Amino acid sequence: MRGGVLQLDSPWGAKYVARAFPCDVCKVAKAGFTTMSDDKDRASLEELESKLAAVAGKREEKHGPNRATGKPSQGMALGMRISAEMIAAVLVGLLIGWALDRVLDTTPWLLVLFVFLGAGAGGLNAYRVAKGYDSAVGLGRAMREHKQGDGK
Amino acid sequence: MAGPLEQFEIKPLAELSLGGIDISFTNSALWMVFAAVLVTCFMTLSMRRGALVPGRWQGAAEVMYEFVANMLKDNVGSAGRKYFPFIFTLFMFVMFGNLLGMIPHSFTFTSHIAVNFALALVIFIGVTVIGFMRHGTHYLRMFFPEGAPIATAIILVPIEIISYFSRPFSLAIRLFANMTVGHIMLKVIGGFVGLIGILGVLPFALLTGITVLEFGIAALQAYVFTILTCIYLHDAIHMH
Amino acid sequence: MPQFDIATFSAQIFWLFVIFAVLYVLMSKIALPKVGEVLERRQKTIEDNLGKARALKDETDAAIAKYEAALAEARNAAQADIREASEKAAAEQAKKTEALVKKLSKKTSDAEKAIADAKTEALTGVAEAASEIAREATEKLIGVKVQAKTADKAVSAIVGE
Repeated sequence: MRGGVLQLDSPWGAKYVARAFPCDVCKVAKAGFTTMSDDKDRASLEELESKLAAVAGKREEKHGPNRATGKPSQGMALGMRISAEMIAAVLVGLLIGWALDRVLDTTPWLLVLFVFLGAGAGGLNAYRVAKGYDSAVGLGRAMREHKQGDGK
Repeated sequence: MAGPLEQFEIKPLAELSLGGIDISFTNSALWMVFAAVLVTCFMTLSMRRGALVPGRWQGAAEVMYEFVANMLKDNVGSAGRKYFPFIFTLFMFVMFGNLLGMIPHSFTFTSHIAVNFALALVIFIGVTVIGFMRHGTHYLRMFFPEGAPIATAIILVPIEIISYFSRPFSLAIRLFANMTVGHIMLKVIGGFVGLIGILGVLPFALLTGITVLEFGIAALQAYVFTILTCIYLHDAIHMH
Repeated sequence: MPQFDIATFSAQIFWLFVIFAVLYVLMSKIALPKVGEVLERRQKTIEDNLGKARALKDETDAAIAKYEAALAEARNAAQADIREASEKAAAEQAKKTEALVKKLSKKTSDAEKAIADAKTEALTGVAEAASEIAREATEKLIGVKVQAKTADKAVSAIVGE
């Protein structure tokens, strides 16, 4: 009998309202403050962020190292380069030998020797060109770079 | 019909001499002037406005600038900065010389070994001087490969010295050979087309193809000439 | 080959050096500084704009964070208020209910007591009336005057059964 009295005698319904009220407030608050225009704004902000990052990345890339290490050229260009290397080296050997012969009065022995050395140098250079160590007649670096390239 | 070699002939336009040495103003000098004037006009007129958002011409001039600047930066590093004007002038001069040579009845001054070798020699001497100035006698180590047995020095050192001295030669010979061979080829096939007239459709197609190829080679050889200079410069500054 | 005609070399090389030197001076003094300046200015402008965009973006982010914090705070405050109010209401309600219950139970016990009193009174009245009636009846029927005490006893003996 007492329980019944309690329930019937609660015309204010205070407890019922008090329990439900906070949830409703939350729902209203959420609906009003976050969903409507905010999601769109947030999306466009994120887009802006990604755009900014992309631009930064692109600039980085553009200004970073982009060195193209020589890969072997082909066909006529390669033939031209190899013959140029050969001719140049033999020519230099010839010149050095001739000059030394004149200075040391050993004609023609040093000329002969240096033509052979020149041919050797020409062969070496041609080999370097053909292997794509690129034009570097300056030895060590091209070799090392090539090794690094292989190590990758 | 003129022979294929006639296009390479040097013709004095004004006879001059200095201390007994012939310095006549020739067709070669004339086309050098053309190239220099064109380069100057291209680089100054296109940049006249200096717009923040470049137009077509300004864009082209900037591309050239950045292309050479990147080539120098990638191959030499920041130490090469002060040589940029020289490298840029070299590249533009050689490239415009090559390209102007594609105009029919023009003269290609880069097809002449004297011009190429003089340029290459200036580069070679300059690079060697830079090397010795930066490294002193240590620069001579360049002639002996690191890590090779000492006993091989007697054969390797002469070979490397010859290698080193062959740089200006190969630089000059390569440009000369490319320009000369290309122009002879164009001339011969062009003559062939003219000779057989209407039947020369196939040679004409070939001529067109080779002309396009030659334009590519004109730019490529200027690039090769310049990039090799950059690589030599790198060797002199960083010693590998 | 005209290229190997050594007689032409001096003229070629002389003009090459002259023209190249002039071009070099033109490039290094006039053309290249201009290009470099324009490129630098553009670079700076772009970087400035990027920096500005970045700063504005950061500002926006900060404003959003601030706004969200304020919102959360307000929500928490509101919830606290609501909880307090509802607890207060519940307490009041409980107090009222208790008072009511007390009042009602007092009323109930009062009523029960009144009924019991009335019942006792009524029962007493009934017994008195019965003994009165019994004495009157006895006197009228057999002429014997019954003592009130005796009649009461007899009646209560019967009722008490």
